[in-house]
Amino acid sequence: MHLALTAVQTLASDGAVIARGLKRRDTALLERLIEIYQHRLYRYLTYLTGSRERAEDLFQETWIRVLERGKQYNPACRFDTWLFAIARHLVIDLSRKKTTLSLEAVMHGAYDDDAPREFAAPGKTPFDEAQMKNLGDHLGAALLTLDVVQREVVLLRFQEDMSLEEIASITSAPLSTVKSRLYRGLEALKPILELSGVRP
Amino acid sequence: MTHTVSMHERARALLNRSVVEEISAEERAWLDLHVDGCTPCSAHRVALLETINGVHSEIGNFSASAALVRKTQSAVRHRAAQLQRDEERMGPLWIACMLAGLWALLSIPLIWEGTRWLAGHTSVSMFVWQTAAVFVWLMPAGLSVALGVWARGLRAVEG
Repeated sequence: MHLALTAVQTLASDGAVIARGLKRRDTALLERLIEIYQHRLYRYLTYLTGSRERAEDLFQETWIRVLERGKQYNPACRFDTWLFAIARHLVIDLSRKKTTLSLEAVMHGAYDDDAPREFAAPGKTPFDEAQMKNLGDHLGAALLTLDVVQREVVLLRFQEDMSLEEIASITSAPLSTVKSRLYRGLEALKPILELSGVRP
Repeated sequence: MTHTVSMHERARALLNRSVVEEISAEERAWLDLHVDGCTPCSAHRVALLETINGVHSEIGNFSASAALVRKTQSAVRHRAAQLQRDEERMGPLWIACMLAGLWALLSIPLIWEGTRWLAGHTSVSMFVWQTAAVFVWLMPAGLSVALGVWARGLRAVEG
């Protein structure tokens, strides 16, 4: 058991092994990676989409994308950072499909193709509100009340223990933006938890 | 010790910063000194740390089901086999492209001289035989490109 766990940890940290396997489209390696990252990826997608169903669809889609784009993986980067960036892009693509660009944004030039990719509909939607009930306890619900871009960085930092640089890489945002989102996210989260009487 | 409003603001800003990034030893020392003697800032620190612990404790609440993992693994295997088949199908096309390229390279003098010889025996104008030479020379490459485009379109439709 201990040996198996060590092997898994070694695999997770060895970018070169993963890069070689992805290049060969090694399905055995991919199956192991799916097992290693199953909970982290699923959790990230669930919080980002606010829906377990959508998270399940995107979970599958993310791994298919990993298979298809495996040759693009740079072993100098951590695999989880690359994986989360792929998942994030899929969430954005999905939200863009669901949201039509507002005419006002176009008229005022707010939309820029070269701008870092962001969620089309940041913030809480009525769907999120409904899902909050399904997500169970107060903390999950409190997290879902955050603006989606703040929620994302809070999760990556305090659940996934990622560095600010890694978060910046995943979100394609400058370091200063990541920091300010974290501050705002924490500030927004604190009173909600206090009000709901949550004392973890 | 008297704490001014700006000191509380500084302490809270430093507390927020300290959970996001490193703060200097000097800032840390000042912060610890202030928070230890300030009830509201101490409460702020507790609330902040509890918030972070709370976010971290959420980890256990979300697990991918075994069925989802199995389904995903199966989908990945299926897609990998599909990609493998596509690549195998594209193999002969790549060989054809390489052969066409090689032929185009080696046959330049041959086609040029051949069409000139033919032109000499049929008394056609220079423009006509030179155009014919270029056309014949480009034909294999053109066919390869057309086949490539067709195969790509076919893959897109099937995909």
